[in-house]
Amino acid sequence: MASILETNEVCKHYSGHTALDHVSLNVPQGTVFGLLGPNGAGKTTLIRIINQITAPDSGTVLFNGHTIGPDDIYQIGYMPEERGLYKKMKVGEQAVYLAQLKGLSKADATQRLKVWFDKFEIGNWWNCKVEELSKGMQQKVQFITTVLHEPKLLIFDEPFSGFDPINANLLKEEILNLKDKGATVIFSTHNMASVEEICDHIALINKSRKILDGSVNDVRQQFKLNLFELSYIGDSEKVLALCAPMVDLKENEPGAISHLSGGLKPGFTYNQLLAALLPEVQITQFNELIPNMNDIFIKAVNQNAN
Amino acid sequence: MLKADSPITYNSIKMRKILTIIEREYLTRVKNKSFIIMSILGPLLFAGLMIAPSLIMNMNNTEVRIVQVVDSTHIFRGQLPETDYIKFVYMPDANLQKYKSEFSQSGFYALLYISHQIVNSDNAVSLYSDKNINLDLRMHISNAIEKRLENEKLRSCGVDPGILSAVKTNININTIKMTDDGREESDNMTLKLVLSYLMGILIYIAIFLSGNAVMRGVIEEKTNRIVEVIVSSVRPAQLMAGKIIGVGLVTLTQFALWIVLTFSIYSAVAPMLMPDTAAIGVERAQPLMSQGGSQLAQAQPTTDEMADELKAMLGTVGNINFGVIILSFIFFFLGGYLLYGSLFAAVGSMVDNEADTQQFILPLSAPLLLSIIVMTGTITNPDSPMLFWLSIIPFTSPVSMLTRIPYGVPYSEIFLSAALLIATFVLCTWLAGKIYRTGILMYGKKSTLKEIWRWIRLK
Repeated sequence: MASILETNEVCKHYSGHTALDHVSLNVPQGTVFGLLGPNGAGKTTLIRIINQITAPDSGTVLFNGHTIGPDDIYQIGYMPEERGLYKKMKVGEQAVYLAQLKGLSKADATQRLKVWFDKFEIGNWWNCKVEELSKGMQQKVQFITTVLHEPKLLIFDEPFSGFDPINANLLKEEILNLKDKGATVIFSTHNMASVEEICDHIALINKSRKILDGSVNDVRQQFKLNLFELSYIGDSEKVLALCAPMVDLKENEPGAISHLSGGLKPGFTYNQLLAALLPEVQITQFNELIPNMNDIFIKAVNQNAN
Repeated sequence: MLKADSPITYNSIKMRKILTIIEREYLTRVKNKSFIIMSILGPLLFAGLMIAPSLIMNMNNTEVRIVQVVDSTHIFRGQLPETDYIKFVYMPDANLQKYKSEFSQSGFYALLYISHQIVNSDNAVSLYSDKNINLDLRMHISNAIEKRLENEKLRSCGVDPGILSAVKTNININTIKMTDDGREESDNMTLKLVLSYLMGILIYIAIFLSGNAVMRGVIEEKTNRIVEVIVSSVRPAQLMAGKIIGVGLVTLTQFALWIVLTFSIYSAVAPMLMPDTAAIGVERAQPLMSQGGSQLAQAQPTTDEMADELKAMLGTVGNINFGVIILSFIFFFLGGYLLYGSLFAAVGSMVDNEADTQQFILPLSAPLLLSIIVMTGTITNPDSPMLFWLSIIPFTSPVSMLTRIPYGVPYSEIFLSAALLIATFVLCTWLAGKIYRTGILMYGKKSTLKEIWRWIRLK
């Protein structure tokens, strides 16, 4: 898959403090890419470098195969973490202004904005000052101004912070819509649930270094702990005895339907386990416990710390 | 979608963006209620200040004061000159007691008693009234009586009073400035003084207020967090430039409106409210006009001629080159504003709120303050060396040079000062830009000078 954005060995230092240490990323085109990491890891610095707000000390950024340059900003839409609007300026006027700075003509911008405003049901607020709008409406406006010029690459820094669940959902839907239309979306977040739901690829940054990257599935497989859970009807004592050599037991709940969870010991397969159990009990449910992103995040960061 | 293939297209896009920013900065401020109010309030105030004194004087003078004259000497009957507001009625006899007792019912404004002793004593004249007698009435009466007495004394010495008026001389001193090219120009120091002071103060206020507006705009964008959104579309330098230019245009618009509105209000209202101020105005303007080197008509002008006289006065006021003054004002205002404006923008980018700006504003505005202080000190000595140097040094030159301009400054000096100002504001804008582009994204850090120095050295 072609990559729309590549960073190669990007480094950035501030007085006595390294913000980015040889960070290399590859963002495939047409995907939703999650940029994860603890606070202060360097995500925002990297994002600002991609947006050409600051320049790296060393390393390169490639956009669509060429070194990123000033005219590429028209292909990029950016919603910063610290985002705001001119309070005393009218909403419609302001949205047009921001769109003009992204290269749209006044007429073009106005027309597109009306469509988006109606879609988000804030059309009646066009002539109101921003301070008259509720926070949720302001967030919608900010989103609209980010996507209005139909950029090929969208970058959202902590988009879900401050969003109520309804707007967060709306945002997720819109991100998927954008992907369907062929755009690529990068977003940084702590909201692991959203990562689960919509990301195709992720990269994890910790203390200025990249410690993890790949497609979500690959990462999950990488962190697989071979955990499983099993529900059955039968003699629980017997099951425990059969499992003992193959399984590190975690939980066991005997009952009419008994439940068991544990980790498969190295060298054994699930098939072997099931083959051993099948003759003895009635298995009602079996599934592998794939680690969620939250756990992976914590584990990866802790591993990296050691 | 835009394609920026060629450098030409790209530069025009850059220009277009700065123009978009300028447009936004300009319109939001000009459409603001406070701008509109100030545009109207200012001229009303100025026009009021110009009209009010004359109005007040008129109000004092509208009542006709009739003075009852009780003359023991009988030489003043019918001899005292009258004006529109001062009239005399002469009593047939000199019975002071009678008239004093009747005075309260008489309806006269005052009772003038001239006793026999007038030829020998200075205290022979008394003015009785139940009201407060104002100064100009007393002066009018004493002048009138003195003159009449002088004529009488001359006559008794055998001198014809007609000779007296032939002998009377009125000396006006014409100040003439000798210019380098051997010409002689009539000088008008009073007007130059006024202009000099006015120009200095105006430029100071203009630069300071505009710089402040830029700074507040920068802080606003930081505090409401919109700045990062904008700098993902434009370079910080473009935002800073657009903001400075936009605010500068607002100030120029404000001044233009003020001048136009003040003039309109004055010329529309003045003739109505002060029909006879023409007389008083001319009396006040006389010394200025005659010193200007041309003798205007001594006749009382009508109200319609007031505006013409103003123009004539301006035109005849010797060599005050208004073209140079106006051009210099505009140039040095722009130069000074661009210089200070960029520095104010940098200060705004270094802080998170207006309160923190105090520590920077004071040193920044010190040169301007200095030039104002020096201006008041050297206003009567425009050739002072200190003023000269201050008019060349870029940080003080806007005010100081404008102080000197009404007195005439050699073009070489103006150009030198202008060139230095331009070079300095280019340098300062570059420097300020470096501080600005880092500062606007920094929050919460207290900016020490050491930090700022680092920002300047950043790529």
